Amino acid sequence: MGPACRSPEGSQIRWKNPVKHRVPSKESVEPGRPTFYLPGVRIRWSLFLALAAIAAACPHPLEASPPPPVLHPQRIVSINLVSDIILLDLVDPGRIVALSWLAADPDTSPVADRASGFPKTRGQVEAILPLKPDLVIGTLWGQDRTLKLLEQIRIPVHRIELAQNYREIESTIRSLALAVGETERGESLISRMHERLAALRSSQEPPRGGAVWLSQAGFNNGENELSREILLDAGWLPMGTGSYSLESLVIRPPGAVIEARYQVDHPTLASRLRQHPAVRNLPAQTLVIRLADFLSASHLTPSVSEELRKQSLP
Amino acid sequence: MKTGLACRGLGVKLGNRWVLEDLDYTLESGGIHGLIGPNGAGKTTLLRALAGLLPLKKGEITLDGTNLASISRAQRAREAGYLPQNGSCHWPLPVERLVELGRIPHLESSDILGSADRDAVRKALEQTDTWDLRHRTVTELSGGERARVLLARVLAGCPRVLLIDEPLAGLDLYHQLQVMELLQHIASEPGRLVCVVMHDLSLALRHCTVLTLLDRGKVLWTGAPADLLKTSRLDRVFHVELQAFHAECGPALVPVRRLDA
Amino acid sequence: MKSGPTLSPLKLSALLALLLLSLAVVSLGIGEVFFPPWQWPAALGGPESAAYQSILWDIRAPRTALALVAGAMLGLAGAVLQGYTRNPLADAGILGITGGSSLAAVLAIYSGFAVAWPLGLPIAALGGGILTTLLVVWLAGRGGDVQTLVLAGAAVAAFTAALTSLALNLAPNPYAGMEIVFWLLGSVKDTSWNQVALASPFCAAGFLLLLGTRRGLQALALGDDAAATLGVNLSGLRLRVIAGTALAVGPVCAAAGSIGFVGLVVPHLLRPWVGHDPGRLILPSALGGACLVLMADITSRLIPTPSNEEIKLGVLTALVGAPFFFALIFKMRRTLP
Repeated sequence: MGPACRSPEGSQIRWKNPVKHRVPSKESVEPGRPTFYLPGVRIRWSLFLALAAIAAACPHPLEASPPPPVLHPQRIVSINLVSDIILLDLVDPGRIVALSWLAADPDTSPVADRASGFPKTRGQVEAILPLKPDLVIGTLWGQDRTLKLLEQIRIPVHRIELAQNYREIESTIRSLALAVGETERGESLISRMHERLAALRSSQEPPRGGAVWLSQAGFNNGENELSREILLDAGWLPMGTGSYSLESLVIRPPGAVIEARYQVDHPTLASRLRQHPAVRNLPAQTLVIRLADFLSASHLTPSVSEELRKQSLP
Repeated sequence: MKTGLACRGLGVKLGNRWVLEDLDYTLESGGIHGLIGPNGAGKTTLLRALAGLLPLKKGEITLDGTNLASISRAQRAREAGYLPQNGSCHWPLPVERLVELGRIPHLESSDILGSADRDAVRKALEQTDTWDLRHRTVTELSGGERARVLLARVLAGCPRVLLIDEPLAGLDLYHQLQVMELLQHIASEPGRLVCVVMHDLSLALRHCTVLTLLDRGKVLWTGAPADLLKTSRLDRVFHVELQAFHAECGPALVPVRRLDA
Repeated sequence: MKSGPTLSPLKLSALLALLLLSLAVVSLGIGEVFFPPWQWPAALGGPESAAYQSILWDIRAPRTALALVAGAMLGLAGAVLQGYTRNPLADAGILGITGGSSLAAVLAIYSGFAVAWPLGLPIAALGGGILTTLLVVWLAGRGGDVQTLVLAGAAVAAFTAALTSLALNLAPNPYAGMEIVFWLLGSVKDTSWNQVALASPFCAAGFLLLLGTRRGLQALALGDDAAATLGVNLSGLRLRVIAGTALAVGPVCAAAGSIGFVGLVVPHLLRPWVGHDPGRLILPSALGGACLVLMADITSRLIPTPSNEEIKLGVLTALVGAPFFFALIFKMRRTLP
């Protein structure tokens, strides 16, 4: 705004509705009251770096050593279905304080009726602590954090691996038996399992043909080696590895389709595949097993092959 | 053949505010109708109402005696063309394609441009001095070039009624005069009605046949430009002391200083 | 952005249609068994003709058809939505339609509705798509304001995504969760003619509705006001855009899950070829979308995986679409002042 804007008479230019600016000055602050302000940029940065260095230098709390195991635990908590199943046959009921919440679910657990009498837990640390366990059994898959935290609180923990074949089932049972101090009973479970397997494998008949599984992911050849072994023990041959496409079903039809049904009244979306026009009229037999029997790899797994043999037509 | 656009008792509300209240306004073909007034007077709102874009709370608008609301949307599009303020094109279309959009009201469902359409487009491009730009992309043009192209779009539709909101924004002096001469020429065609919202009072006085002064949603004065000069309304309405200079081409109004209330 | 070489819309559509036809033929030939057209007469007449017939007709043809329809609808909806919102970064996802369809499908799976009635899943997803679109319209209010519409769509999309995550979180049985996760990835595998037949009438209706927006979209390039004075019924146009998109995209979502980025990528690739005209972009986008999805589906069948499982279609389009998105953003940054 220059002199050209002044009116000829030289009178003052008055702003309509002038905006009042207020600059905060030191005098506006009451004396005696401390004023806080953030120090300059360099000081802030050095503060930040110092804090970061302190944090890095702190010892990691989770690297403490695990608590010593108890030889004959009397208060066992199992937070995993596989260990629930094995535990029920491995130790006396009085030593089991709680089983996982799936143990009594008839749709997922083969021992639902036997497990119904025990308290259930969902596996959170706050729920486990009041039970005052001296051994907690869980899996590496998905329960790792819980188990690590329990170890921190000095509660002994046993981790089981999910077995991929009968050999691994054996070692799972053995290591669990060792952890609960029942090695003899563990061996007897294993030998009973081997007896059933021997009975299945003793049959002289050649395999009836190829079989595929029908699961949530569609037609497939089983997720692991255990599925193959189950098929072979039941007198059927696996037809490859991994997924089995509809086209393969048409070109190389199997002799049987094995459905692991979950909640028999509600077939899953996967069983909708059975209605697909291409496979609706497949000449294959349908063999149905309960998912509960198939889900957990334990000493009870031979029952699947036994059931399949029973259902299979020659 | 005369075209007449008339509003009676027009009332338009935007939000909770009455922008136009009880407005009477008549336009007829033969010369440009200029709408002038300070910011916030309601000029753009009035123009939009005439274009049929706003719901009327009160009153009615008639075109040649027929209520605008009873004319079909398609018919209205053919009869009236509206050029909004600060228009833009959202996609980088070629200039010719943009001007062709002005023919949409006349196209059959097949969307193919006939020879009449192409002639109209060509004429519009030539009239606005944008024929050489026709292969350029709209978004690459300067502000003034774009303004002329958008004007060409409205002209391509060959509407009887032209409602234009501030056509001179962004134009250099040469093109300002060119556009006003063009609009005058169009307004002189029989049956064509041109209504222009303007800020430049000098050009308005020079080129418009009828001037209407709007303030705070009401028509303060309508009449010939020469008569408007005789009143002292302009000073009060615009809050500016104006000095009139009479040149050969016509009167020129120069704002001298602001008047505070 | 220069408007580069321009083909007349007819020529462009014809080229794309030709490409589509060849891709369809390739799609019918590719699978577990390599089955090129020149082998068809021999195979269909020979000893195992029933099996080959079944493969062609029951498995590959419906799969190809669904991929085609899905791609066409997604590309079409993307072009129309970008033209309508005047934003090159718009597609059915921003209006929350795919979100609503996914949510409805998830609820159908959980409640057992989809299991009790196999066709319940597509119908639920369609209903979900329509409901969310209506919600978006209601949120955006009357009038043709585009910005409010985009905001409403984004809000609804975020909301439906949150509800879907909630449903997954509260999964009563772990298998429902797994099924839903796989379904959400988007796939046309194991489609039957049933599913195609269910989706088609709605998609056809949506297609017709969206084709009719052509003129309105062209006029909208000049702004809402100018478009209105050119004779475009703005609220009618909005209704047609929204209803058309819901009808086109909803059943696709139901049958094939969430396939993303098609509506974003295809119009963007084709736009320079139609001189950036939003109206002329519509039909080529439909054809281009069909081509893109078919190409992705063929690729998913060709990539070998250790578990013999196919890579899901939605995963492929996302893997290609996301880098494309990055490239787009970089390009836009360069053209900004």
